[in-house]
Amino acid sequence: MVGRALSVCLFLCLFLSPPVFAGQAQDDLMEWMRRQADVQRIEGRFLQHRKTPLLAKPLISAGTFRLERPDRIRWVVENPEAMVLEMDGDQIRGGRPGKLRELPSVEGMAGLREMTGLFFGGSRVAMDRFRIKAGPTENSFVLTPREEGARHDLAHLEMVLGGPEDGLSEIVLASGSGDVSRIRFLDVVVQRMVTEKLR
Amino acid sequence: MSQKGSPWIRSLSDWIVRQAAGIRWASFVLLLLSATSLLWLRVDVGLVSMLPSGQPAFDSYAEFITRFAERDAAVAVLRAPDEAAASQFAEDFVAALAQEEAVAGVRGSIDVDAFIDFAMQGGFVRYTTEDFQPALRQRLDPRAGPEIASGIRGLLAMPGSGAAATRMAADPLGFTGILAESLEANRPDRALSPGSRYLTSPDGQRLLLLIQPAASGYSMEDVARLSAALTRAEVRARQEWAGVESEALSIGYTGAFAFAREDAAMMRSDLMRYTGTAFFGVLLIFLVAARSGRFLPILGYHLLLGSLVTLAVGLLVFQRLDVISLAFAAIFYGLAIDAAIHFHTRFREEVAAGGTPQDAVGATLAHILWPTTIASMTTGIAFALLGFASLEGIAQLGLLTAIGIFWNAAATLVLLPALLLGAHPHWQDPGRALWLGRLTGFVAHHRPVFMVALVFWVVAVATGAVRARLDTDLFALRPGDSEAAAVQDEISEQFGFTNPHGSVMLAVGAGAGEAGEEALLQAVETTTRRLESFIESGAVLSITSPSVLLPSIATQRNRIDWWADQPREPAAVALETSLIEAGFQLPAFRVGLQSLRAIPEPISPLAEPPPGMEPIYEHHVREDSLGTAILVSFTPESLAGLRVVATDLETNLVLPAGVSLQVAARPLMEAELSRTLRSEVQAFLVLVLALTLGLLAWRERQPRVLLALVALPVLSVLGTVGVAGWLGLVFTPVNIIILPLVAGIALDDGLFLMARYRDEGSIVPAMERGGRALSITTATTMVGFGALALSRYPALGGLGVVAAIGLITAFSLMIWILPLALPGARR
Repeated sequence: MVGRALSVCLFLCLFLSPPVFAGQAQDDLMEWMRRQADVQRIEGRFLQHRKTPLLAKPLISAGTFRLERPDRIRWVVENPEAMVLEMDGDQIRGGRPGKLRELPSVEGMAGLREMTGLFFGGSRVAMDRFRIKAGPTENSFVLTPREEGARHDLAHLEMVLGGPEDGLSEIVLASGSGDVSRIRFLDVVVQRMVTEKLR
Repeated sequence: MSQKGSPWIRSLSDWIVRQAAGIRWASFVLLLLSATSLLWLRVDVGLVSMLPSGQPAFDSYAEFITRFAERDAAVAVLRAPDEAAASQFAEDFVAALAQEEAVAGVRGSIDVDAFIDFAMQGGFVRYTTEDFQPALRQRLDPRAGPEIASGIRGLLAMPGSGAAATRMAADPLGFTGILAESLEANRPDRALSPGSRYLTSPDGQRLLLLIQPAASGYSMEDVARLSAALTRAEVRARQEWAGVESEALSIGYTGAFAFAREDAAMMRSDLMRYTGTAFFGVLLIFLVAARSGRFLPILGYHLLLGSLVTLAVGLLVFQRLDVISLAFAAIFYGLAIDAAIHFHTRFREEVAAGGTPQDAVGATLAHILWPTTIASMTTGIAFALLGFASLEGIAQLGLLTAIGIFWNAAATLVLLPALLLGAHPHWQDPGRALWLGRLTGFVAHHRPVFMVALVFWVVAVATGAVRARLDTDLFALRPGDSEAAAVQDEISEQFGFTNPHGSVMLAVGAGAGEAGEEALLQAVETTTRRLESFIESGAVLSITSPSVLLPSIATQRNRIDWWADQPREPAAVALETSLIEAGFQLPAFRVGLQSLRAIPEPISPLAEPPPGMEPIYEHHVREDSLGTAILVSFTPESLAGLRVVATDLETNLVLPAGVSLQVAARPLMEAELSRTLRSEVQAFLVLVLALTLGLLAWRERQPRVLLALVALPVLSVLGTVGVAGWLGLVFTPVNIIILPLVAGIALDDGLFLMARYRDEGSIVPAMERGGRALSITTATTMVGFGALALSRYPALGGLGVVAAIGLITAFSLMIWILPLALPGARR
């Protein structure tokens, strides 16, 4: 059951993927994307505050994450329900800690790769699927899907920069059904590729 | 030398001399009128026109192709480095296609939300197969409630699971997943993967899109329009991918459209190449061999007019021409020039002998009218008989060439003299073929030796004829380096869409109503079960049946009855309790809880296919003016297995009233085609020989000469088949038509030589005089057919090679047999 739920979750991640630009905000985001090109690995903690019509009260969850280029991912939810999701290339595993099982290779896998890409600066193609404008705070951007049909699952995505090593510090996801998740990234460690120049 | 012939030939000659100018002008007007036919030329390049008809096996296969294969007009495979890129590129491409008028629609993506809605509105009860019902039953365990609530909370705790949580609320017990697994487990092909929005290959690097064209049919114009639309759409889609290497993303096409597009592109260039080569080639040979440059413009005009008139008449008769039939022009140039060369040669001789051009016309007509008439009739009839061929393209080719031959006979006897009278050149004697005369004399002087040699030759070619092979694989007639064929193989390999050698078409007529459709659905289930029993016996290797997507109302009722008996209410109450205890708001789970308690009604799957399954539905179901048809495909273990299965299904399977069953299978069709072709060719040859015999018996009274003239076509055909057998050349449904033609041409050669023989009284001078024209006509005919060898279309290329063998054989036998049969001197 949990595995099935996770596979559906993976599918959902697709809609996190695509973003884009308009005017100065677009240029700024493009510039940020270029600066993330040499990020090799990101790990840290996350804290999610989620308000959903399904629950009477907001749900707060916390855990750790580790993303490694090109497509190795590990999300560990520690509170309130222990849950693990791992992806390594085409392999996806998920479930309770110690009871992970192989999950089917579904479209969510592609979405998860895109999400990894977002941490690493995203891709132009993915960004092109969004309208971009400056966010409410400095160094933030609001991305709205260009495709009307996609807005039910993701009405808008807010990216807040300014984290360690110039990375993401916060993401806000809002769905058309009133589900809003604010995910903060804490104690983030970024490892960049060592270039010839630095040596 | 001059002789006037019968009175009516003299009358004809006088009329031509009087009306020469008028005839020339009339021909020019006719040329202009005929040339306009090029403006309304419509050419079919589809596969159906290459399919035979007239036998049940042919008609079943043709109906299968017409109703099922042609509709899947453009099957596109999108290739990308990974699934994400493939999906996004597909979306860009589909968006670009939506702007094209030539595209009616695109199938390929699966709307997950719509699929969940469908499932929760009773779809999971009606469509989940019996083998997955235990899984449904397991979800109804009231003890699972707390675990389900905990799982949903765990999912909500995972970052980025917003929409997933909504979907979990709609289907808290995961019935959609079970339905998806059930469909996947019983899926008709590997492309159906419920977790994917697209029909995706297992490695995620390929997507399948079915593009429906706005226009039906395969005229070159429709193909060109759709092709241009696809190209524009691909260019627009690629604009979204600036910076991505073009090799990383690619689109390949297959299906009837793609094959037709390849044919159209290839045929256009091929047509120009081989028709042009044939036209200028025969003229060049004539120029070199006959050394008569002044006659060249007349000959060119004569041939051009003949081909245009034939094309115009052909279009009036057929409205649209098959692309194969356009090869008629090359064949026509090679054949039609023969009579003109004979006329020209004789005419020059008459003028060189001192006659006026006007007298020469009469004398020439007197000499060549009968040989020309009989030769044209035999050759024309041979081609006209091809009009009864079971392949439409071949039938058209035969009839068009026959029209051309008959026109040419009349034009050679009326227009050509008029043109010659208007030319006023200085005509010289065309000369003699002394080497042919010497060769013939040598044969005549060593009659016993050559007679024995002939017997040995007959034995040798008869042995070769036994080795000759007929290949009725229609797809082998297509170019081997076809990209569409490669993409088709790629789809078979990557998506599991088999290229079934067996297709069962179950159908009800238009207006069958709901009862008819239910009978049809039950028939599909019955047929699938029967085919599954053949898997156990080994006669069938695999089945591709849509029955899992098309449960009959009766099957749905059984499943609904099963659902009604399950402990649904306790499960619903337990789930509600668990959700409340976990802090969930029940109204958000309204749909899921309602589907748990509700007992759905059966719904016709033809009226409402499961969302996202439309591409598979379209692959297997046709609703058209003929009614409704459903396709169940299977791959037989062997041809013998196919026959067993086909016979069993067609004779033993008890189907509901009103449902028809046809087994359409390429191997069966090709086996039948092989039988039919053999009998057709035999019938053609017998008819040609019977007609020849009748015509010859009317003109030729000497049994020995009659026998020799009849032996010429018989042995020429035998020799062609025998030499092809020894050389390992394979006869196909296209190049086999050469055999009746070889018979006709062999007889032509004999008749023209006999006409000379009557004049000269001896075979050697007859060969010296007539052999020159005969060798030129053989060469020009070979060039006409040989030009087809330039075609990249194997069907036409093979025609040229077999024709060359046949013509050389016929010419050689003329030199060999007639000196053996004719008296040395008759003076």
